[in-house]
Amino acid sequence: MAVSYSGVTKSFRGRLVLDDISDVVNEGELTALLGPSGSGKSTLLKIIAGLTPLDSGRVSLAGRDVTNAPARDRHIGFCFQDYAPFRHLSLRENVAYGLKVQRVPRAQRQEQVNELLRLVRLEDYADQYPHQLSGGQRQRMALARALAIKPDVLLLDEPFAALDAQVRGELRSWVRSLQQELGITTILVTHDQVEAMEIADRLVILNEGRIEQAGRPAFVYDHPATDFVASFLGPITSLGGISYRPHELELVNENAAAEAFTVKEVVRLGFEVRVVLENVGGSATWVQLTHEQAKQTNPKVGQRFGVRARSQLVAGSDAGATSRETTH
Amino acid sequence: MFSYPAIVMASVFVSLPLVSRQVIPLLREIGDHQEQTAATLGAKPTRIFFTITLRSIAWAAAYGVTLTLARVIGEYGAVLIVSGNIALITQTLTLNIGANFENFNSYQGFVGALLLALVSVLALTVIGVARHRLERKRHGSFV
Repeated sequence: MAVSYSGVTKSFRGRLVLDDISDVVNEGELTALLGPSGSGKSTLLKIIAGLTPLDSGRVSLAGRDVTNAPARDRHIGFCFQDYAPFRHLSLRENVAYGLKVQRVPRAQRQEQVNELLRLVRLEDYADQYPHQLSGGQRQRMALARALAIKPDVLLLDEPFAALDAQVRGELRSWVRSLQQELGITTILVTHDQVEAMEIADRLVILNEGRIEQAGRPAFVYDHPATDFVASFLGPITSLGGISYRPHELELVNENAAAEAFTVKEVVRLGFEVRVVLENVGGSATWVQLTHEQAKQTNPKVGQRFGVRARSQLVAGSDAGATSRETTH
Repeated sequence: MFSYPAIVMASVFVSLPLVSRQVIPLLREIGDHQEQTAATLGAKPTRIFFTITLRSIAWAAAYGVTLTLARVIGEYGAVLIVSGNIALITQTLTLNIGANFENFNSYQGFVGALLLALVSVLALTVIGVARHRLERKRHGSFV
């Protein structure tokens, strides 16, 4: 196990931020700590890094108990959401900082910095200062700086939140491939469920200082343990008192189902079509159709349909949650 | 009282707010993420202070110190009270001008005033350069 923590509890000014949190992160895995703001996920990351003291609990990294070790002895790479560039140092000096601290000889240091700059594709910007770089370039600089000390674990706090949508998507897949190439154990904090599901081997979903569920993204999506997880990971709707993902529902002839619904609204979003329906009793549901499905059934406001479910959300525990998925 | 340390203390007391008003807002704005990052890279607190914190606030501190200098040179009342105004020992240039003026030594008084003006021009130049650097750092433009 690369990172483990148990019983981690933390209060700020009498408010419980983390309540008895425990988890194990496997070697080489990318874990996403996912939750809404205020769920305690960034605090947990800082506790693992040794930047915030915990009230009780234990943290161990690569088999060493580091609960009482200062950040500088933990050998972790940490990237803040704002990338925290050393503003008075050039990009090259930023990346070299950790190596200087470790007293790596000058020639060797320069070689390693050049190699890191190549890795993050910033070799042409080596002598620029942080304020001359774009957001994406700063993020890659922060990554190179963190990787320079060859950390056991990489911790990323909302690494893509400050970037615009297009750069975010590009960097996300780039970071994922870099992580796999280096095989470095990584914990990433995010509030974006799409990002977490796209990039992570494993999700840990936090809410109000507790872990709601942990497991592989696809499993958690289909088998949410709680209502919170179900609604946080994707849209849900209810039909006859049972929760469903709207894309698991389909429109059928009104005589083919037990109950008839009237179409109240049809919203076309390009890649999907949302159909909002209501039954005689006034309870609403909605169905998410692909473009093709919408063409076939062609729902219009006022029309009547039956609604059928292909599969429903079933809570369960993920047997493969702690072992690495082989299908990646 | 009536000694060199007394002048320094009185001057520091009336001038320190000028430095902190420059430095504290800047420290707030910068935050502590740079320091925390340096810690994760293995740096000890003293190293972090000298290589990160002090470097980040260097120009703001220079600005504040120059303002302090200007303030201290011109200080009359506080210094007059605590220094004793003893010539060549605890008499500042400003007090010296005051003394010359009171004794109708206008020639000496003007020489002192000229010196004071030169020092002020120098201080203004330093402030100008510092401010320019500071603005550049804060707003991230590279003029």
